[in-house]
Amino acid sequence: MCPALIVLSTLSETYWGLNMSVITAINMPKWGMEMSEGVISVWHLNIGDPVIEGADLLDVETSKIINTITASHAGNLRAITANPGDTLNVGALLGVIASNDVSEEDIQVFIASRSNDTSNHATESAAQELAPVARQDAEAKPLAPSSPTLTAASTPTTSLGSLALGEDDSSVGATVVARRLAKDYGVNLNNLNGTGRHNRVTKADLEQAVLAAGGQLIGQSDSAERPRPAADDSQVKATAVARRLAKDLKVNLLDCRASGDRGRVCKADVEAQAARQQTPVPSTTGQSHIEPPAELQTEIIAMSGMRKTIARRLQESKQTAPHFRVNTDVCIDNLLATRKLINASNRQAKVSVNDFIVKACASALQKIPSMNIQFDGENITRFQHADISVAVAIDEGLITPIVKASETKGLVALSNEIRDLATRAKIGRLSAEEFQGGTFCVSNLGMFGVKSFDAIINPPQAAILAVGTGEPCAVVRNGELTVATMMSLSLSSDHRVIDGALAAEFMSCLKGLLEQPATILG
Amino acid sequence: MTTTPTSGTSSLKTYREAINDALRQEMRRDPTVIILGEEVSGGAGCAGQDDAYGGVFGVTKGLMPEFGRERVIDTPISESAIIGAAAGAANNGLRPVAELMFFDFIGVCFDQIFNQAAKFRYMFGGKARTPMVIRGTVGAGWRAGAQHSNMLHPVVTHIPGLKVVMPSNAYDAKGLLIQAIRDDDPVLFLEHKIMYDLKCEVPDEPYTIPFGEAAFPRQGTDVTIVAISNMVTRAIEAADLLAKEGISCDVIDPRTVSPLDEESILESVEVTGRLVIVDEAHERCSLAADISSIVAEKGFSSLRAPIRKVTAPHAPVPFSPVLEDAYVPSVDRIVNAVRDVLGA
Repeated sequence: MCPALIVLSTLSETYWGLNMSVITAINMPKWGMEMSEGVISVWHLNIGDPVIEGADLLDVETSKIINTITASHAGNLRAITANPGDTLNVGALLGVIASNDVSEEDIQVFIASRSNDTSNHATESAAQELAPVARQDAEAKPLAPSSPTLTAASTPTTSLGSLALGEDDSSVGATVVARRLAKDYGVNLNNLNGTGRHNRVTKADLEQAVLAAGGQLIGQSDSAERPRPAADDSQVKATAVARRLAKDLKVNLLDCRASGDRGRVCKADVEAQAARQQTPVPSTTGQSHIEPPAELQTEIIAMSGMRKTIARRLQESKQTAPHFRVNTDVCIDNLLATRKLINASNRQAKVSVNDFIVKACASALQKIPSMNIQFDGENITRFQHADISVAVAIDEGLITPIVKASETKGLVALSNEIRDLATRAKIGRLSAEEFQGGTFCVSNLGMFGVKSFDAIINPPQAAILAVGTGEPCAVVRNGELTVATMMSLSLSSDHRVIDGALAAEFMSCLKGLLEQPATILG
Repeated sequence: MTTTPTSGTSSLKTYREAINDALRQEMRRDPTVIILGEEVSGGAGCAGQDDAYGGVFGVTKGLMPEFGRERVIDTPISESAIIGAAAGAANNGLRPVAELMFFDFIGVCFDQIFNQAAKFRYMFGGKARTPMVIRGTVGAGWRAGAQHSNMLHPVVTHIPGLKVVMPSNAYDAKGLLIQAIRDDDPVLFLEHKIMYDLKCEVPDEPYTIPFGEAAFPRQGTDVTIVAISNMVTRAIEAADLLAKEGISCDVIDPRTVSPLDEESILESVEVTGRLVIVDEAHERCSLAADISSIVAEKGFSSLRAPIRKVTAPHAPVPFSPVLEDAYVPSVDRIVNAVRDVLGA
């Protein structure tokens, strides 16, 4: 192994071989604290394509967003080690950039040196989906010269590299089944850590090591090439419901991930595969001429990462945070007049009612700092700045970009920032810190003509304001019936940390600011 | 871990001789090892009887002349006295090997076993040790009647604080008994009386076999057969018959039922997906029922067919030889159960 200098950075590490040629790894990035894994969406380049610095390499979907990884170095895309649909841990190797004068062997050595990252793949099943790259264990020795090209499948016995090496293992403690299987895999038991009784090597220990070394479990066939409708999937471990569903949906269990208990294919895996199979290819867009039978006129839609996150977080919020609501109606005639004035006087300005509301909330949060908080179940964190999340509906769901320190920003600047955030949210180009956190949330459905609604708190925030539409109403003022443009506000608060009186005080303050917009300045 | 003999010499020994070997070698190695029981020496006071009679099964034969009456003690016919004395001796630094001629008689000494010996270590906060072994004969087939043919391992397996060992061949019997004598907890060492004359190659030197590690006398991938004690012999016979039909069986002999090598059983079932358990005890609350529940609970996803138990009926062991033979699980019943889980 040649002495290697490896430079670690967020997205890439660079490796100088003996001949000073440069190999750059493309790694799974970490976008934000919560990110532990990402799913490869699409590669923008093919193996061999030239790469210029800053070029779009591939898209990665996290539970929140789809983002693009750009090249940090120029060269050629020499290897792709993760395919669309694969789920990989942060830091896992996705591909390799190097100039064309780096030999294929050096690339292989580099990839092998990275394969000691046993947690490359987020799940075992993901490892099975990946075209098996010839990998080696922690010793990271160079591959044998005869090693196949990157995407070639290899049999379990030849791909396990140095797992097979070692002295006589007949005295290593192992369960009988593990020893038998080790023989089948060609694995030397000296290379395994035993976790069973008396530290025996168990079947699970062996299978884990085989998977970590990039091998495949015997009896679980390679699913790299798909679809394979003809392949016999009767031996694939699957739940009974999944097996039945697979039959109905014409999904081969070999093509499914196995995220269920004990590595079985479960119902969700079959549904996800069915969704992948139904993704229309460009040439066949448009309506199908074949009318499906009546009982099949339903569609199973896989939960996207974002959908799952929304589902999990909001369910958690609704179940753990005792919500209560405080409602009020606000007269916005003055606000509308002020808005008209500002938009007329400044050609760059396109201030919306919602911008006013965000600004007023920022002001109210400064006046009532007890509302400007986060709550993690144990501690209340009070913030100096009002970081206000604004709920933005996007195709895949919903995201809440944050206007940071919104009390410090002028209305027009605030307005422009919100528009920018919303635009980028819709195309999935927000960075993690732009939508994680926040001390308060505004959700506005007024543009749909909704009178009023209740919102669910977005943890770790403790309150959310739901804004309805502004419409002319008959109101009684000073004992006389008159017409005013009224807008309904509903504040949902977490009663663990915000009491009724506090919420009411906040709403009263907010109402005052919105009805007399000039006071926002004060 | 297993200690393996170094000299490499071995000879064909019966189950009885292997146990005798283990006792002799441990008594030579450790002066605190003593033997007590009914007629373990035998022939006491009879002129001309220099050699020891060695009990009705002849297991302890020859030990009294070598180690003397101080260490090979013939007791009155009182199981409660034997076990009570052994438990007390164990607490005070000896390593007694007490013999219950028939394990069926634990009824009269069960308090000493389950409420005393089994609990000393626990109740004295780990300060007390009870390194005693209780040897006893179990099982039917000896035409000994209902009171001398019970298979009572489930009764003691149920008790925490006891280890329960059930060797199925001479090799295991020697290694497990030496391990049992060296163990610091009460160990019930259950010998199947039908097996005393079964021979196999047994090393001459002492060796131990760790508790809780199953043996696989036959290996296969279609069906897992777990069998214990004398049933292992029959399971092997059944597996060999089935092998001729192309059905390959993993035969697992847990060797110790407490601790039980759940790991090996679950792993094997993961491979085969089918399980037959053979136990000479009655089905209810038996080891077969226990293993069945373990696999149903922890290995359910591996199962491709319902678990089958092959056990004795819920009835006392008959005295009629014909009925007794019908009572004990037979090779035929095991073969049929395997065919059954295979749907064949």
